[in-house]
Amino acid sequence: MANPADELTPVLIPIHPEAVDGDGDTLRWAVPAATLGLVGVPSTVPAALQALLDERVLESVSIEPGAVRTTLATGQSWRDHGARVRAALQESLATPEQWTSSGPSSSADDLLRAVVRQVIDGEVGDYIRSHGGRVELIAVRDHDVEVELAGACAHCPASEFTLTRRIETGIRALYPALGRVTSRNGSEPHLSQRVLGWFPTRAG
Amino acid sequence: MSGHCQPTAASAGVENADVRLALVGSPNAGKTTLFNALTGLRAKTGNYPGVTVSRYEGACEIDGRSVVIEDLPGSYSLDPISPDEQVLAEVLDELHTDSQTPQGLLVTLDATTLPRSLRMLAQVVRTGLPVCVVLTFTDELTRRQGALDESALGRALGVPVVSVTSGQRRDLIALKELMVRPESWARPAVPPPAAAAEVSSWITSVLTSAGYRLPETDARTRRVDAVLLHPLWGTLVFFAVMVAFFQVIFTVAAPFQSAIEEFFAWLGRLAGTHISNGLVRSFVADALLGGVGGVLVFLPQIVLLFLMISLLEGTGYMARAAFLMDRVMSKAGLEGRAFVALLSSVACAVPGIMATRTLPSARDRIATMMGAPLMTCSARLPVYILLIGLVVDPDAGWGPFSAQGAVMFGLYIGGALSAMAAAWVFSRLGRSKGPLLPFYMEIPPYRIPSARSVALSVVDAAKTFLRKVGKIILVTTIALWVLLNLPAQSVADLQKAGVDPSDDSAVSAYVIDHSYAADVGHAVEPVFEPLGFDWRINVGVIASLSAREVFVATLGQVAAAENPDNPQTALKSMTVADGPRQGEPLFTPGVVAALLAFFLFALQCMSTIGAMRRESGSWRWPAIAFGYMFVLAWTMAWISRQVVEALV
Repeated sequence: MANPADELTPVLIPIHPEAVDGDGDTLRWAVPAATLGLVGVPSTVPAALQALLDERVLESVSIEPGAVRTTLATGQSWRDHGARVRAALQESLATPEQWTSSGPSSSADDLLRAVVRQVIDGEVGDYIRSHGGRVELIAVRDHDVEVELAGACAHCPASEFTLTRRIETGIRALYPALGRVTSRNGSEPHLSQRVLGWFPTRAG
Repeated sequence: MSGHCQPTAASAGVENADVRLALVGSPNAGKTTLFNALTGLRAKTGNYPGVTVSRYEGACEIDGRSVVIEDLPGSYSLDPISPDEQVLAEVLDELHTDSQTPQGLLVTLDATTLPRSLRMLAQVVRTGLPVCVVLTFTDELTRRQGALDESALGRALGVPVVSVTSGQRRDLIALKELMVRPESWARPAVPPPAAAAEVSSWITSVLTSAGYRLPETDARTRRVDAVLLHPLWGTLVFFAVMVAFFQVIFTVAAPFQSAIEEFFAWLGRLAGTHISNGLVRSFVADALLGGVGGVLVFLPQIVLLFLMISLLEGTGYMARAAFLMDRVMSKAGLEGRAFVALLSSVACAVPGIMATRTLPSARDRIATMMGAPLMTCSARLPVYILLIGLVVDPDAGWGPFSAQGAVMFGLYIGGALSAMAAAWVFSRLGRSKGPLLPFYMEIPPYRIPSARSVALSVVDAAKTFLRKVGKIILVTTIALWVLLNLPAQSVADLQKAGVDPSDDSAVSAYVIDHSYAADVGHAVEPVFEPLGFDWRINVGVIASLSAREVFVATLGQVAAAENPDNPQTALKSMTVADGPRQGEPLFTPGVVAALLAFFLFALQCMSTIGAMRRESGSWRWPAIAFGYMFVLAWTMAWISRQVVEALV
């Protein structure tokens, strides 16, 4: 079944563009987690991407966990430059060491912090909030994350699950080097929770 | 949201529809199910200009707006390799003015095979037309432990995504809302890439974002396939299934068949007692009831044949059979797709020949086309059953296996082997070897066939058969009746010939023996004499050139004229009218064997010849097929007669 053409061509880093609500000039390119070890606006980018910035095709490039945002300069259109931006980004992602950041947010902890914020602000956080709960980031340290569960979560017997299953999975997808996730009011799970843990879940 | 659908013939009108959409998808992606669900099974068929890829269109009214949906041929890509794909590429090309470009495309994607189908979606989105993805088989994806986030998929693709499971009405509501306004569908700012490596990158990224997890192979399917796809056991099971197949056709159909027979016998008696005019009585009793009724008797068999074919297809066994046979086909120098074409020919050679369109190489197409008419089609069934019934005792057999079923199985095997041999010869003859193209075939998981689609295919087959009986067979039968009963004999002529004018049977026998048809039958006697055919069989064989079943109708007419109460007995006791064998039984085992062989090999079907002409683009190939098959039929019939007569 393998397409012979696939075997001959080099494997590229998987990327695809997604629209950003309310901002037609910006595209969010999903890139595999941990391709680039930094977040925020990079101070240097590889030549292919830099050329687009120099030519005023792109206004800006910024990195977020699991994605790169590209914003068009005024007067440019995706129809004209979409394919070129894709090719340049694809090429640039092959040399992650050429993306650098001189600013303060360049450490691994900063990246992890950005990932946790994104998870808490995203669908996982939405799910917890829909149950009357609240999550807050307390600290990140050497790939470990500490959060606080508040609101309805604080004394919920299922909170341990929520933590491991949802938050941890969400973070690990964007930050594969993740160590442990602990909650401030976290304690040894109750027997009932451990019994529940024996049952297979869909995600497992 | 109100949405009701109606046939195109109604006021909606195909030409001045408000919205024009097209359905695109790979084969087996549930495209046709969706089309039927949207248009209510009432499709208008036609052809694309220049080629004969059938074109299906249906209309649908949603919120007072008429929406026309065109069901484009199923395909795995837009690369124009085969005629099917060519049509697809042209319809989606706005610059191609021969075909009307749709305002939007509904692309069906099988959720269980997304990594592959996204490749085609990338091509479709690149055409620039508005695209809406319709996910199918999401229920199966979940059942087989796969996962997919539909809204994330929609975000990643940049086009609307809706999921429709087996054309269910409640799923259609969201889709129909979208269908009326294709201009408002989201479109990606940057279309998917074109280069193979970039497309692979895009697909992986999109699927990761959508949380896609490939479904596991169904455990039951895997266990069953370990046996059914096994080179030895699988082949044995395949033959066992085929044997059972033909046994069922004989044993289950028998009671229904005799009921229909009795019904026509009753009608015949009714006609005999209530119609006083001799000519009208003869027309009704002999031509209509004897001829057309004689063919209608085989309706139960046709229904059973298609019932079993659709069950085998619906459960997923047919694809396995094709997979098993791919090995055998490669020995004949053909690919697995050719087997699908040959297999369809078991129903009828016309769809079989049309199925050759999926073959990318012209050489393979012609070779398969030349072999397809040799497969035992359903039109041969009545002829075989009639002939086998004449010489093989219905009670003979071994345990549950009837001798009649065994002979029938042998005929099907004979047809299949000769079809492959013919395809092999013709693929050798056409020397120019094109590039070898990859063969994709989907092995679906075993599924319980939907009662609706099984019923649909059976009803369709029955309708087609009845339409054929009502048109070609009725017309030929009437023409034959005229030829068999003219010139009219006066009382004086009869007396001069020593026939008692008051003896109806004797009179009709005399009339038929001196009819125009008899003249024709006698005229071709030199050709068929070595096969043991007399003029009556000759008339039947010539008439069957229009459609094979007419042979049964002809013999039915002749027999009904001689013994209206029991035509079957009349056939059995028929004797040779003249010549050196005069007075001997006509249907000896040798002659029946010759006839069976003749019908196995001869191309007696105008529809097949027409289909071949359309698909190959000239009269050359149908002429070659007719010629070679006639010579083959005559030779094989002669050999069969010699062999059987030496044995019996």
